[in-house]
Amino acid sequence: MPKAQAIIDCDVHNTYRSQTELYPYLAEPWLTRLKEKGFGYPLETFYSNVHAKRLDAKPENGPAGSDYGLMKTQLLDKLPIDYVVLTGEGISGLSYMPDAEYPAALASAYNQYLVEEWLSKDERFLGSLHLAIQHPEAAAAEIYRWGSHPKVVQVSIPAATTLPLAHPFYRPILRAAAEMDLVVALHFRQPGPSAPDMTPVGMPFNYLDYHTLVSLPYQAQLVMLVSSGVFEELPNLKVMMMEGGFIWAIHLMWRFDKDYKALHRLAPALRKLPSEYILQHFMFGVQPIYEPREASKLQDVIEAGGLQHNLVFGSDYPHWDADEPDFIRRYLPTAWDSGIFYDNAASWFKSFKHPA
Amino acid sequence: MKTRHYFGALDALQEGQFSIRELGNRSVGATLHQGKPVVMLNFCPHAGAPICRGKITASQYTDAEYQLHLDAEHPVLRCPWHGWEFSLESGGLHFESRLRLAFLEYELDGTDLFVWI
Repeated sequence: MPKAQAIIDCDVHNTYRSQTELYPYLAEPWLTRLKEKGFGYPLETFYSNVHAKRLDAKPENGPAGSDYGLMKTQLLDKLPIDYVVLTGEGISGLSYMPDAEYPAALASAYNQYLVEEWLSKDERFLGSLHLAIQHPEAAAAEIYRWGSHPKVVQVSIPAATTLPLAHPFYRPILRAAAEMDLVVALHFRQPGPSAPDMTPVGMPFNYLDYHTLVSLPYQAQLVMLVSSGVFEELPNLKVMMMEGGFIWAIHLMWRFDKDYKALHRLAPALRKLPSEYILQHFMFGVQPIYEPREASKLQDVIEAGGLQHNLVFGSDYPHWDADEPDFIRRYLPTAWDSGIFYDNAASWFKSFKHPA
Repeated sequence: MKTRHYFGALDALQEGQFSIRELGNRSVGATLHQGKPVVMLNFCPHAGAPICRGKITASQYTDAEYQLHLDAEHPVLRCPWHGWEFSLESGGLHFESRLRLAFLEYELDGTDLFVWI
């Protein structure tokens, strides 16, 4: 029997059982504020008629993703998974809070909690830092604080931001990530009080609209990151776009190259075609996998854009739309197995280049 | 088999803009660059636009330190349709492409310009 394909799961949402688990890592005055008011923003904005997380993934004493034992049983040991990038849960809403200092303190507390309570638990765990991106200096300081930790491999940033990520406002974050060889992972999340519009035509009516349209901010980020020339300034900047789909990236490569041929004076820092930057500096999560009626058509589309080397697996456990590897395999050729489930991600994460 | 066509008087050509003639069944444009004639088919190799109706303008480039420069010494011809810019000197594009301006052979007979098509 052939050896099973090794798997890096780039997207597993761990969380704390309750906010009390953050208390040891938080100083005053923030500790009192957390105790009295919590984060102070709503986590669920849109109406959904289904649960946000797999019902079977909820432990008795906390939310789904908060119990290491259950995660081990349902994911790590079951599939099995060789490495898991923990991507956090409600904590990613920090960037949508209106103030700067409190969310920065919460991010710092979470990151220490992540390192001490999760990364130490299982040698298969790798970590994502969470940041309050409305406070770029503090966010960059977190990156420098933890960036050399052998199991911290990326930072997680919400896909929709109030300014384009390519804007100079956010440059300290991108620079720090590039310097510390951390991947910048974009995840969509429901908007908090200071979130930007989720679509250019206003707010989605409900969770169906929202969840179908989540690719929009990823597209805007990708185009402006490329045209800004930030990849010339920071050649080691790597952006992983999780849960936002990827077929649209093929549209953008073709459209962007076509437009660039006339409008290149507006992107003077570029040294090559936009599509070449996209293929060099972006990876895309395959989950939630597209499910065309005829499975082989997905391969045809991906090959048309030459995107098969830019896809990574993330299960999105324990969310309701999580995909297990064998389910994804129904839609993709076996020849891509090693790339999508291991090699593409391993080529980016620093812990695979410099083993601990 | 190429044919020699009379284009016009050399001193009627101007730097920075094209003169256009219908010669045989082809449209041909000519201008001067640093005092020398530049003669080409009035046809953009991208999508067939009458390219000699486009604008001759300074090229833009970014040096090794990412400083932006406008270079009027090495102008480009910008297509009037899709805006692609072709070097007036090499006929090539800013980005890698096999497409080139279709330069034509010419010869001067005294002050008269003749074109081979």
